[in-house]
Amino acid sequence: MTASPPSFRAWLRAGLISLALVVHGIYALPSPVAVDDADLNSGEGREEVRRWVEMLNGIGIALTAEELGELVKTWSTRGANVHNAMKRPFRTWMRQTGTGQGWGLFASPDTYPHRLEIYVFEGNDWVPIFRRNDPELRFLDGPLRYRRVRGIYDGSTGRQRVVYWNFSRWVARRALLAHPEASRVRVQMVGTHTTLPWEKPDPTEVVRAKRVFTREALFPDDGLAVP
Amino acid sequence: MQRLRGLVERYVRFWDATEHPRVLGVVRILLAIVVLYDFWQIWLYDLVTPLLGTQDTGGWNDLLARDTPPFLYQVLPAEPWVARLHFALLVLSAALFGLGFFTRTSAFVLMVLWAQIQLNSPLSDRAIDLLCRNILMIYVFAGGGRWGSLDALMRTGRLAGDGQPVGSWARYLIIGQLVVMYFTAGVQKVGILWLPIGHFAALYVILQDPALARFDFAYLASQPFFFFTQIGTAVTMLWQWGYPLVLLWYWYKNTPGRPGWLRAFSNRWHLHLWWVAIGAIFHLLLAITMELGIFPWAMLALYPAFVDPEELVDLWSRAVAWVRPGSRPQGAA
Repeated sequence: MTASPPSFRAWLRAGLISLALVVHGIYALPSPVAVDDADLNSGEGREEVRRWVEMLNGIGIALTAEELGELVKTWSTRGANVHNAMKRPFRTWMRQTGTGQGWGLFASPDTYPHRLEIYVFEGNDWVPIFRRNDPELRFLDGPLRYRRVRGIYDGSTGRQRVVYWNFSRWVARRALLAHPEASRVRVQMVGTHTTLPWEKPDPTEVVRAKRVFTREALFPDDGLAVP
Repeated sequence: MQRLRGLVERYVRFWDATEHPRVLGVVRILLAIVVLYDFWQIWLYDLVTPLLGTQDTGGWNDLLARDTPPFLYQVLPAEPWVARLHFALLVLSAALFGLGFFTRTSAFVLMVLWAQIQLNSPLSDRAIDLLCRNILMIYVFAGGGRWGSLDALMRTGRLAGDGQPVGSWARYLIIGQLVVMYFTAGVQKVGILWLPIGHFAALYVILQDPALARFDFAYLASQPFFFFTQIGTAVTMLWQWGYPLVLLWYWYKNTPGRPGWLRAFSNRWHLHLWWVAIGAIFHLLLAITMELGIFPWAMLALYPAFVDPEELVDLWSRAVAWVRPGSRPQGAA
């Protein structure tokens, strides 16, 4: 006994699903992000290139960090350009529906991570009130741990973004309201360096994206803790 | 030619298969709970305006300075009530989706409004948001409201509906989405620390990132803890690279009459469920150790899609029997 041929509806469904699979397949292609000089010159970028050069030299492929960097830049840009061109016809649909593919999750672990810190100026000194993962300093701990907020500050350290400026002002207003004696608030990211257990520890910390807000600037009417 | 036509017809029939709607219903309810929890956090932390509003009204993003402002602000004025309305509609559509009330429409509305968050505030829209919207797109077309829903109640008089089958394609696409996500996440792990030549140190390094780690994991530098992180890194890579194997196990499961020792082994030991179990453990460990918000929970909400409706009943019966040893598993053979 042979099965009856699929209905028109079945053909239509299979066709539409196939179209969706093709489009999402294009989006899912694991193409590289275009690497630029800023990426290569970041601490993380330099370290990643150094480790690859060591490995490649170890197996007899003679490449300098500059040569490898240039290769990565050229080919990642070409790959990204081709991928972007393939995605272009579907971009509006994907943008308005917020759908797509792109799963570079922890593709390259960050050996130069940043830590958010908040200080208030009380008396004659800067007093810390928040330091990420410090159980003693937990001002605004809930919202600052929330994934959507973490994305704002953790994604802003390399660039001077308006969103980080507005975020830090939001933090500062809350800090001044909670600390009526404070005259200023400082919000900053502190760059650290993670070394492997057998490597020499690097205690260097670099302050980035530092923003200082005064009470007068944030509460201009009377400078007091009334928003 | 005949052979090609036969293959194409088999492909069409594959997408034409049907099944009981309970799995789609369970995934819908679990996903809605997770999404509502995420939205509740926006409300709890007073982030409605910062995340959804324009800069002039207290928002963090300079939406109106962009070449193409988000659609919402092209049609509505840049006033504070727009952010609140946006949020209220997000919550309402997520709740209606979970309740299964006009399920397809609520899935569509939720997806489009959620996409506006991405357009408003790209840095606060994470991979899990993208994944959830992809799943919502499937529900826009699927029969996800035929079980455990107000739609089912209105149509049949019962919350569980009348058991009328729905297309299996929706569940297949959810499985396919998870396979694509895990596999491409694996192949894009090009950082040397994921590889043997990088000493499988990726997990150790990630857990030292203050923005991601839930606790201070400095102690992982000492042994045997560092070794455990190396094992974790290697298993993550192997599991993600090998994820497409789950499709092979499913093929074996659906073709038990064919020959082959691997098919027999896979079916005897339910290898597809082992893959699912490893994934569940992976996500629970992520939830314990890292600050990733709803990511692990939303992923787990999709996991029921890995079992077919009959398997789900069977697993549920076994779980009940395990919790209450007196009761007999109904679905077990």
